[in-house]
Amino acid sequence: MGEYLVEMKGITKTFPGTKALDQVDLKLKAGEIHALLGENGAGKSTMMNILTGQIPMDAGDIYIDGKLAKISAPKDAFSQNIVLVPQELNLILEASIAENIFLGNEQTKGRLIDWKATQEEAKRLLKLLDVELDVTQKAGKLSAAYQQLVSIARALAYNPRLLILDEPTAVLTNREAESLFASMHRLQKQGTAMVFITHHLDEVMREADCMTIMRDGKLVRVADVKDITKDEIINAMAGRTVEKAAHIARTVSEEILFQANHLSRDSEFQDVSFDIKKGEVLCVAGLVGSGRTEIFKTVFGITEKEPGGKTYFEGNEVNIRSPRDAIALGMGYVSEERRHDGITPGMSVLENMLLPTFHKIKKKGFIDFKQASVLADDFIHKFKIKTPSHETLIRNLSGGNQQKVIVARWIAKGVKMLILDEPTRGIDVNAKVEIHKLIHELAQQDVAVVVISSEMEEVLELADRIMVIHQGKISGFVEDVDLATEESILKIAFNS
Amino acid sequence: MNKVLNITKSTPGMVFIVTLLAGLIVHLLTGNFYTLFNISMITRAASFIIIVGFAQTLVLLTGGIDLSVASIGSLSAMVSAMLMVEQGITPIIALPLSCMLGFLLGAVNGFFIAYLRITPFIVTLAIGEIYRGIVFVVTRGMPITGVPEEAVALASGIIGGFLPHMVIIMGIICVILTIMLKKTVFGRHIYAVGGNRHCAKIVGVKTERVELMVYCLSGFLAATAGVLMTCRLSSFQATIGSNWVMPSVTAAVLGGTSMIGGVGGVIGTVIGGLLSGVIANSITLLRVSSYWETIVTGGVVITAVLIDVLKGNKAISDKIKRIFVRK
Repeated sequence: MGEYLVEMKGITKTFPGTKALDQVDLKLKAGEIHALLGENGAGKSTMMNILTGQIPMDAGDIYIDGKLAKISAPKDAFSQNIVLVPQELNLILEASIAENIFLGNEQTKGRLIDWKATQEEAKRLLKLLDVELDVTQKAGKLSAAYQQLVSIARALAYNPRLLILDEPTAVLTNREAESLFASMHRLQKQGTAMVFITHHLDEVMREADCMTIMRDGKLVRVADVKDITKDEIINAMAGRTVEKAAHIARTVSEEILFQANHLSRDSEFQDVSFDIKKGEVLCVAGLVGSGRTEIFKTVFGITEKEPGGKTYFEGNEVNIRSPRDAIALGMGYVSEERRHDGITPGMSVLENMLLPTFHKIKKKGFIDFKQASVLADDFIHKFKIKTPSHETLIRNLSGGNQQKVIVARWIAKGVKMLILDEPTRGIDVNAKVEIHKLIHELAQQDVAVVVISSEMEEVLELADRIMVIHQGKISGFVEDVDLATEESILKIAFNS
Repeated sequence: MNKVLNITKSTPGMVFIVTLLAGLIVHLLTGNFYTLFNISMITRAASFIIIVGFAQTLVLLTGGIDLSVASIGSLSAMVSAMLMVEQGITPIIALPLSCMLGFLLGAVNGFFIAYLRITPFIVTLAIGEIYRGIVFVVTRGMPITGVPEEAVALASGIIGGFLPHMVIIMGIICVILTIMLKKTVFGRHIYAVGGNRHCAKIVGVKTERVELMVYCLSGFLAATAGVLMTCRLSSFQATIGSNWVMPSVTAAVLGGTSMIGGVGGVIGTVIGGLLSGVIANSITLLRVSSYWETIVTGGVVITAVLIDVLKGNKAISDKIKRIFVRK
């Protein structure tokens, strides 16, 4: 057996218009947790898709156990026990948890599916992750965090020698992430190698052994964790120094823009009352599954509230029964699930950005595409959206740039209140800084911004006020954000 | 130049080239494909299917399907014939009225699909059967003859001996629909609903209204084709439109409209419809039994779709190449 479990050499891949990978090497030892770092679009996912046989490479070699391996289809990767846990949740929501875990890898007795073994094995695999669930319930019933854990359990069913985790902690709370890391270290002791893709550098410094840093499709640096500092990593990823914004205390107007009284929705959240002032950044903290997403889906009219709850906008009682009603009042909403309900992949950047604004830029009944192009180019420039042109289909952009387009959508529309659910999840450092800047700018212009986030750092940096949700109820507000810490927020959540 | 190259690379572009080539081959073999007379005959015959294809295209763009285009065409055609023949109403009123009936017939589909969220396939299948049944109950399968001359002239006329009225009508509809799809908010919303319904809803598109309207328009266009067919035949036949459903889907798909929604357009449908017309015509010119027509059309469709998939998905095309290269 060679020194390395997996060795990728000189991997090159060109997509129409872009060189996604240029002579990239990646060397993985058995039993190590290897962080793969880089901004969105740096080529991390492409690299992993090649290793798992999902896309072919143009040039390069892959060695496994020192022997040249031919990986040209996903099944080649499986037969080498290389398994990827994708970032985007990828479960069949109508099927049971156990079924999802063994999808494509069914436990059989003869030619029939052995349901008993399936369920028992599913339970065992989840236990490895420190999770106990009724595996016969539908996957769709689970929160995003648990769905992520089910995806990981699915990968474990293949007895991976190399496990690739793409942003595994993006939807997890700290506690859930901790137990995931504990399971990762357990796997590590058994000799499993892991590639860990993440944007949380703290996690890398704490949990990984070494790292490969990529930028613009090229290898930038390979280092052991102990030999590098966080700032060095950031600079290597960005190719320049990233400014870290500190929390700025602001004075917010006293004028209440939106108010909710006693909102409830069965089994999602109960008796929620809060208000948002003009120009305020209200961050909503809480564990995934606490009901924070659901509350604001109801506020925006995507789901209906129970009778009894009342909402007020600019002092008038309003009954928001659909997103249209909310938009008419001047609200905007960016969902946490970008692919599911954020973008229309087959449409251009321009159309995705201006879809709600088309009504306003008409000339004689027809959309004025000249004006639309000017407007779109303006935002592309202002928000540094990386795209060849506004005609490019949005699905060809990286996640961070897609997100910028969607945020720009509401700014172009001109909103008084903007709800952002996990606006920076899975987004690289620079894009994140830019989105944070945008949020501040909006607040300066008197827009009320709601930011729902799992990332405490983000909450503490952005918020004028923090609303803490726990188990479908508001467990408290933090008025003085400067004095708040991650621990104090968690205390509020759990002490209610 | 680049733009021209891009167009030929698209599905409708390819289909158009195939259409011209097929014509060329038949012309070389028989010497009478590229004649003014033959071309005007082909385009006139194809115009009916193309108009129904427009109807289908609009619905496919939202991710639905309309299996009732045939019966809506038939039912509206029957009403137009009854208005003109039995009630003696002038075609100037009777024809638009019958087309509007199609609009309402389509609205029934749209209501079930958009507001009650029942699958388009089932709704249009069932509603279509009901409409077809009504035609047979009313006419007992008998034709209605005696359509006024002006009406017949509308659909059968040929300007200057080579440009059929039908082609002009089809062309006008094509231009209107293209402008609607590309330039109006409603048009872009059709693509938005088909591209990602959840997203469309969140940005405030009236998804239900868009869907309802699309089925209404589909009904209107199907009725237009049916009514014009009655004029063309100078009588109503219960068989009008009976074989329109699949050809309309064929025309749309050959024209590059996606069955999943969100991608495509009506200009492609014109080309797709023309190819079907050329196939039928070529088979006649080559004196091959007309029974072969559907076999050839089916083969062309599956080939076109296959090429499309191979173009769009390098992994699959590599796979197929490997199968052939290895052996």
